[in-house]
Amino acid sequence: MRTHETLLEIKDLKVHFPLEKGLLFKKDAGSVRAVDGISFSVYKGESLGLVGESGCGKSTTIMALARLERITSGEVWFEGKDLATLSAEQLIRARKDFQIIFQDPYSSLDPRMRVIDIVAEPMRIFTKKAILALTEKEIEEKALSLLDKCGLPASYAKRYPHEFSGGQRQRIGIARALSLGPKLILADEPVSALDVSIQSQILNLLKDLQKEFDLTFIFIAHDLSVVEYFCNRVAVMYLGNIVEMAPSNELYENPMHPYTKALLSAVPIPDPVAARTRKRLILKGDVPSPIVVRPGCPFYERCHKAMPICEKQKPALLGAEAGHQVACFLYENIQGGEHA
Amino acid sequence: MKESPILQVQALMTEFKTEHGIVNAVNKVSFEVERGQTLGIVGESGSGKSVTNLSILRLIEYPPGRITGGKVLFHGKDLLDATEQEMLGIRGKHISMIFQDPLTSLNPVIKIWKQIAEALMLHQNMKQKEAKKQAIELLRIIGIPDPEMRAECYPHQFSGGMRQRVMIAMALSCNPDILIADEPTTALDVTIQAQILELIRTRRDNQQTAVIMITHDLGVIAEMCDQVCVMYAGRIVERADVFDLFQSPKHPYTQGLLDSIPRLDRTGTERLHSIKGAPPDLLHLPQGCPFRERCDKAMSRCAIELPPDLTLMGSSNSRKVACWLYSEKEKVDENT
Amino acid sequence: MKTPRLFRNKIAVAGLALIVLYLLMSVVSLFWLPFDPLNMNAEQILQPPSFATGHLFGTDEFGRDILSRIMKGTAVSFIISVSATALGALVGIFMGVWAGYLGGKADNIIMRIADILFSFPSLLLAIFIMAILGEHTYNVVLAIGIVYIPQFARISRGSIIALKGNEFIRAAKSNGAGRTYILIHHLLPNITAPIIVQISLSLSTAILLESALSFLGLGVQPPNPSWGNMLSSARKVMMFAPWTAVYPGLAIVLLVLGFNLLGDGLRDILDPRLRNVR
Repeated sequence: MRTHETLLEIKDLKVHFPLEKGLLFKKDAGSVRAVDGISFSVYKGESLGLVGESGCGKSTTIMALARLERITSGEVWFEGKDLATLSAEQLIRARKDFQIIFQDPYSSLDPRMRVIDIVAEPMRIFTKKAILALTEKEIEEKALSLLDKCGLPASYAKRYPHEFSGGQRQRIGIARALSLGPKLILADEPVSALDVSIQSQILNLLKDLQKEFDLTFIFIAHDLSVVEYFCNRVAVMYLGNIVEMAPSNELYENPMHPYTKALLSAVPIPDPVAARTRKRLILKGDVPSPIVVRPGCPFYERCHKAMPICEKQKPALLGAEAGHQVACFLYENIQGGEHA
Repeated sequence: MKESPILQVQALMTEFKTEHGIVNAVNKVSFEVERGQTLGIVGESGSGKSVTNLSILRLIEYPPGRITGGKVLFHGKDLLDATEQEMLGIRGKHISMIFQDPLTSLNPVIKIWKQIAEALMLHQNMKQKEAKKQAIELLRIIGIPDPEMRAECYPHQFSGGMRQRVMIAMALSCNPDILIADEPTTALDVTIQAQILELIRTRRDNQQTAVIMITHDLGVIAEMCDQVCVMYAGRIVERADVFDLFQSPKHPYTQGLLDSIPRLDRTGTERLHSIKGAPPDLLHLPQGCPFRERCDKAMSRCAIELPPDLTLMGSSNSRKVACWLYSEKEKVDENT
Repeated sequence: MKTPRLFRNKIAVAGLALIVLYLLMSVVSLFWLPFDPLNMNAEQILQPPSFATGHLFGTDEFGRDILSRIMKGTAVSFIISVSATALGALVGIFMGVWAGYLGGKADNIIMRIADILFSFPSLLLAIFIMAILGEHTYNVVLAIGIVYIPQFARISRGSIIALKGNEFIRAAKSNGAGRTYILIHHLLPNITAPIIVQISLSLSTAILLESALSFLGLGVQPPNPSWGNMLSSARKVMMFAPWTAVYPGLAIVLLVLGFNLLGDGLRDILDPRLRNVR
């Protein structure tokens, strides 16, 4: 499936939210470094997972990619253009090729619109802007067809979102994301808000759609098991940085970064025997503040293997491109390979 | 000699009046908890797991909810008959509860130490100074750094994980016999979840507290529980020892759940099994078994009659399944 | 089909019934009135209500039939309050929606203007405006309209801000929608619920404001009847002819009650629904 053709390439992306203090005269009080210099590539046809806990910057990364958040600095190369520097006009055209599936099925659909209109809307907007040339009839047919592929028969098309369950709403959101025929899908925790028995239905649906429409995914989840199932490559984020990136089975079988190890050890496994015998690595403390500027490794404060150099210098993400990459001084000597 | 269980819930029923009709949120639920044991209640939205536990503590508000039947025996005494005064003496002291969202469960305008001390002053008649000392000590025990300073903070100054610890501290401050934890870690990051579960485990082991753990996460159940009840549409559909449940789940819903979750210990799965359909609408439950429409193994009997709780032959008395598949084959011992 | 929720809410129905009654009265008043409301009749001054004379609500100090004057006043009151509310709503919503959507400096400027208006007690502000504009009946519409702008601005702004956070707004952006498109197609349709409630309640206070202005001699000018100016002229005689004050007073009270009940009932129906956008 992997052709190694690069669809998206991110270079040193930074998203900082400035903080201001003071009532009348706003003073600069530092910024929340939500995404603090990450670089990675996404290959055509693959599913790249972004995992991490709250505040790690995974959601901000894709929102910035999609230019729904302001990019502070960095490059986002997609289809030969840098999305970060596109004009408003060019950006809208580019949007046709990347779409988002949102997390909350209850707030991602306009409660006043009929389901078919929700799915048809992107096509209607683009036809009005003369980027697409579809007749109203074609638009409706396509919308119905997409809803059908997502498991919602035509009889549901004239209904309103509040008449549907969470899982069904998510299906509507997925159909909408496919409306413009995008190449890249940014899935922001698409199953986190759903019941367990529905999650697998939606994950299976996404896999089927990926095959049928030749889609590439960037998949965000905090549930590592879901990411392992769905994605072929995974990037682990911590405080706005990528600390490890590897093919999914490789990451789970051979985690290198201390944070990845702690993360994997913390995931509860539905097997009482394994659960009681496994070795636990419990991290102390909470995720520290993303405002403080750290010269060294973002994980230094909680790392049980921290060395003096970790406090002063920030390790770069090293390793073979598309292979196993890790940003940690423990491995600097072992890898010593090309920079990412 | 085996001690009798400290909590026995028998045929508990709770209903809610909505503008569309009556919902039987808890429908003849029975289970027992023994001293020092951890019982897991697993279910999805609409299963009734939270309402069951609110009912035990008589925290159901009327309108629209009402407990309409059954018994909740705590040390032999029926809590459903108790007066509100008696219940006040039980909540927080003998049976404590922690909730999913610690931000809304804590009073935002009262300092942390005061909220913990409140339970102590109320139930153990402590003076404020003594209670404050105890509160700070509790903060230290649950792993809050700099407890003397942190005690003076307000809830919003704590992170989600720390707030949940405070809730646990409050709940355990009077050494209750039973701790009811309603999705305590669902809103937390996985590394924080590990810390919280560890904390609950330690306190449980040290104090021999019985724990009722409500969750939708089968991984948490596997890690924490001794006994498990699986709930669906307001009923318990399967009850077993945790090892038995995961090794040989009997009810098709349990089997479906276990097969449909992605698991880190089974990497490389090509396709997930999934349970077709959606969780039931409690207002319009079908006749017979509520799981019938989603069940791969449904028989004609399932559409007509509700399966009773059946004890499986050859296993301990606590292994129960509510499924017709097990009536002809196994010895029938109706326990409704 | 199930009874629409509006009709199942008893409060709203009661309010609606009262309002419909008044509407009927004002429509009828355009075609027929028991007596000529402007006809002064020296022989019939201050007659108590009686079936015999045909003056069901009695006559005032000029011998004019009170019932007819009340009926005539209904149409005027309705027109004024509806127009004033419409004016306040249109301007207020326009301001509030842009303030909420744009945020930042625009929000600041717009809302400070609204705050300035809001800091005046409504009646005083209305009097002030009338003093500038002059005592013409339809200047009342402008005065009351301006008084209402800040309320609608605040409600719209609040609703927009609450809506902005919803993911379907982000979804629309990612689908290529521009700001104006989102405002018209996604934001405005979703703020109708609190606006409708506010409109209903504004209509009720509009009646009160208009009556107050007319009472003070700033609104509808005599001899044209308005419940407010009827009350004003009744002051001199109400000690021995209470009907001259009671009936106009009741007319005001019942219509205001009607709008209030409708507004409360609508709030009960619409707000939980709105919360279910979740």
